[in-house]
Amino acid sequence: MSGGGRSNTGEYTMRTPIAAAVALALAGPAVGQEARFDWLAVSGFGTLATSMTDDPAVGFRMPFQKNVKADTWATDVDSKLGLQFDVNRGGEFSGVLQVVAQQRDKGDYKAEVEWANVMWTINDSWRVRAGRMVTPVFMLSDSQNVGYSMVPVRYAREMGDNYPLSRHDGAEVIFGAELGPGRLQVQAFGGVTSYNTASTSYKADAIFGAAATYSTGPWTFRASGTSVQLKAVGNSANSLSAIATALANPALAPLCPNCKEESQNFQDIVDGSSGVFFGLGMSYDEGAFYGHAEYGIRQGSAIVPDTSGLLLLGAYRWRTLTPFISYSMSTTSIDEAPVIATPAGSPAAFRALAGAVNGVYYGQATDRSAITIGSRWDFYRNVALKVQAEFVEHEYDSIPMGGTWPRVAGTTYDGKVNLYTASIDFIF
Amino acid sequence: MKTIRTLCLVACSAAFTGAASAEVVIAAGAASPLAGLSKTQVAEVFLGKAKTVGGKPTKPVDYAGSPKSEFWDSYLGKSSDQLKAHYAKLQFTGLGGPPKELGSLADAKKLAAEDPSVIIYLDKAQVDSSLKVISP
Repeated sequence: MSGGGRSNTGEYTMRTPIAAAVALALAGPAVGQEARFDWLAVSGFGTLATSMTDDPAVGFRMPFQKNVKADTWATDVDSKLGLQFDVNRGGEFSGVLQVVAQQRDKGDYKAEVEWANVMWTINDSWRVRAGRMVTPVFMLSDSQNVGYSMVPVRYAREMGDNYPLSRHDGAEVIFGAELGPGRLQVQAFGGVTSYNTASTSYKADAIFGAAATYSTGPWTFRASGTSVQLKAVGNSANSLSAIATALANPALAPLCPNCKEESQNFQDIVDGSSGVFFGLGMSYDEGAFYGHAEYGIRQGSAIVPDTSGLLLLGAYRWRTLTPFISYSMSTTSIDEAPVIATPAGSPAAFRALAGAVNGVYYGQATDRSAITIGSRWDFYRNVALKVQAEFVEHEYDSIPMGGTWPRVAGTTYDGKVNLYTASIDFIF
Repeated sequence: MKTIRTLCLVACSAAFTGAASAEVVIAAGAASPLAGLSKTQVAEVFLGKAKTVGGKPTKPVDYAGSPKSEFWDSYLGKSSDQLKAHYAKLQFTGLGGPPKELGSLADAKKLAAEDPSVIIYLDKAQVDSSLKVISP
């Protein structure tokens, strides 16, 4: 689950299109007034960003990215470009195609289709869409690529990391109705997808979920539940199966009482394991004040740990500036003690096996809390500049973390790191 | 001192001129069943949150030259930048976007007369017999 390099392959290939998009944003019309014909509208969004951790022992990236830099400015973590085509928007039948280019699991920029679906608006209450769509697990899951739509640079990873997958191919039913003084919207969705990290490829055979959103005046409340059947595939599945086979060796029983159980866990992620996600959130958006509070949990299985995330954010708008402060935290069911202990004098082959097993778990043990302070500045039409500083404290300072906070091998870490980010978000 | 007084007078005149902006009202076609919308209901329709009010279909329509800033301020309580961020979230999740914008007020009035679910905002002085005010 951990890994990473320092390659910037592909970072430069995106500069020209991103620069062109920025120019288009600066010169172009506002959102909704894009190049629109009777049946086709073309629009887009993007982010140019640079970020840096202030500790050579730990870097920061998105969980699906390969490259990671520590104590050095990185421009390929948050920078991205999205292009969207809307066909007959607002009509009885409409279609959307959205392509997003960003650094992904191979370390280079790659454009992938995030949205590609056809929607049938049956009436004012019911809509159905089929095709590819981003999975709306948490409050900002489906819009987190659009930096311009958010106050901070990015959706807090303490929430997003609970469900690192992005989209699914399937169908969604959306129901909306007036209820009391407000509006209720219920989304029910299902589908399949694949997901790659730098070290592991996954296939999700069944994603099912529902989200209910109630909005009244400035208040929005949301509750959601999602279930996923996930399995590792390809070379990573072979590696995990090999670990499962080695752990099942009866000769290990005297040395390792939990090896049989761990063997099953490693085999389960290859054969298919389930994960369940629940989220509760609310936001307040009125005049100068904006607030967001959210809590989410993941019930994992096999080698995927249980996790939880919390986000509290408050912002105040003053003219074109929106300063904000947030507190976020995440926990996992992994602790600092190794899953497989290696008694003194145990054979080297067993120590290597234990190291592989413990490494898989440690790579996911990024328990932490973060205080983020920053500001958004809408300094020009369709363009926002953001700066923010995240003061992060990790629970475990002696293990090789992975995911969004990979440790750099051969360094020592005191468990505290600051992440500084500046970005320009734009729409066109 | 005289210069300061002159500057104050100029500033005050400018302030009062600015205050004399359009009085924005919400209107539908004269035959529309829509009536008596609250500010919150109007905001929910124009922000893309509501497609019906009191069970009646409601479609927001904008037009070139509309008194946008007055409407945003008095009904939506949001700045242009805030609205763009809001609409971007809707648009790039495939669930809507800003109201359809027509070429002129005349076009908007014509559409409202034809479609009873259409609502528009305009300066109160521009309301004619083809429309009825539904808010405030």
